[in-house]
Amino acid sequence: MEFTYQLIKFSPPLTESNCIKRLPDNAFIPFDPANQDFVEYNKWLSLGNQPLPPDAEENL
Amino acid sequence: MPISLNGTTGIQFPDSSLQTAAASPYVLKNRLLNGSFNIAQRGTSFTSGANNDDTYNLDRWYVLSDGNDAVDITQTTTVPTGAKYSIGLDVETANKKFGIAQIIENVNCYDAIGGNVTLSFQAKVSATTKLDNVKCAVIAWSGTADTVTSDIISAWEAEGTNPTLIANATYENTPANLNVTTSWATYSVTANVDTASTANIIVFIWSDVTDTTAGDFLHITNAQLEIGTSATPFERRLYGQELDLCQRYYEIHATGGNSTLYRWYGGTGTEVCTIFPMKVTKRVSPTISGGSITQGNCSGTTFGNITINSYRLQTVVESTGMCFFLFSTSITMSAEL
Repeated sequence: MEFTYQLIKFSPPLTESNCIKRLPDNAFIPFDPANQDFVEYNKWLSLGNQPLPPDAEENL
Repeated sequence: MPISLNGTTGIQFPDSSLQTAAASPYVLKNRLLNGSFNIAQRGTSFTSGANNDDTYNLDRWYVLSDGNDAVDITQTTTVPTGAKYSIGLDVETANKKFGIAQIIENVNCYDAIGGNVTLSFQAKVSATTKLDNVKCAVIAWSGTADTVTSDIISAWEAEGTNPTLIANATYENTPANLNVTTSWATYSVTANVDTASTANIIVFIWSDVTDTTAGDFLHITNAQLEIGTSATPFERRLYGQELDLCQRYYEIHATGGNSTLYRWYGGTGTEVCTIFPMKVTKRVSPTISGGSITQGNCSGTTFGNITINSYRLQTVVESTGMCFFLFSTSITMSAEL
């Protein structure tokens, strides 16, 4: 399966987000270097890819 | 009758019981989790899509196959005496090699690295006309610890030729045909894990033939990896213990079907959140999937602050009053290797 990724919008005061959304399966991947999915995300970034901006209104 | 020592048969006790090998000095000797295939958090049947190459199925085990949909995978009750379940690998796409594998986390195998380990399991096939070459391997991963490329196969190769592994993966034994039959039997191999910089051990059991027929079955159960040169009796842990051990890597929160309701009261635009603890501390901060919800009077619902112990679900109240959501699908957390 080919994945893309999307940033997550958090509204104040919950401004910090420690994960990225993987599309199309809507998996939430934490920024943990030991998480295998995060490793894959970093490989994807290293190929020059960029995540999509967050939706105006986040929803699961 | 006195205790009798015999160099061929072992130690025989007064009740006529026979001990054929030295007892393991280790408590919880089996470094494989769910070797009994009793734990099935993801489900008990994995068919098209869910059985794709390099996909987890019964807890801690994943399938490796030459292409997707090579075998359907089920938790079956076709078992040897004393077992409750086996994993059944049912050929779906003919003429493909396939197998199952488990990656052992470094903290659970570091003391086995540099010495001998023995892999044992029970197996049978539905017929030996085609599935006549089942092999097993102890594989060393010498890349970064716990950052294992789970698809360890570089090339499946021709029938009878051991698959070529990817970089940083090395066979520690010389895999050979185990001559598995249509009757349950125990098979074992011993390997010296001596590859430099080994960080993880991977167990791989596979069919090495390329002329299979749809409907052929390979059953496997009671898989065990232990330190030493002898295969000792399978260590059957209590169900709850095994489940806890597996949940370090995968867990389901809420079962879906709108069975779990959360409600808040807030003013328009108020952000509300709940921290959900995990049942078991995870190996790493897990990936959370499957969170489809039914919601009322709220929007912008999302996950955040995922840690090894908890995650946060937050939403925004649309207009002053009660808001709610229900999990319409299960939420899963994966910290697999």
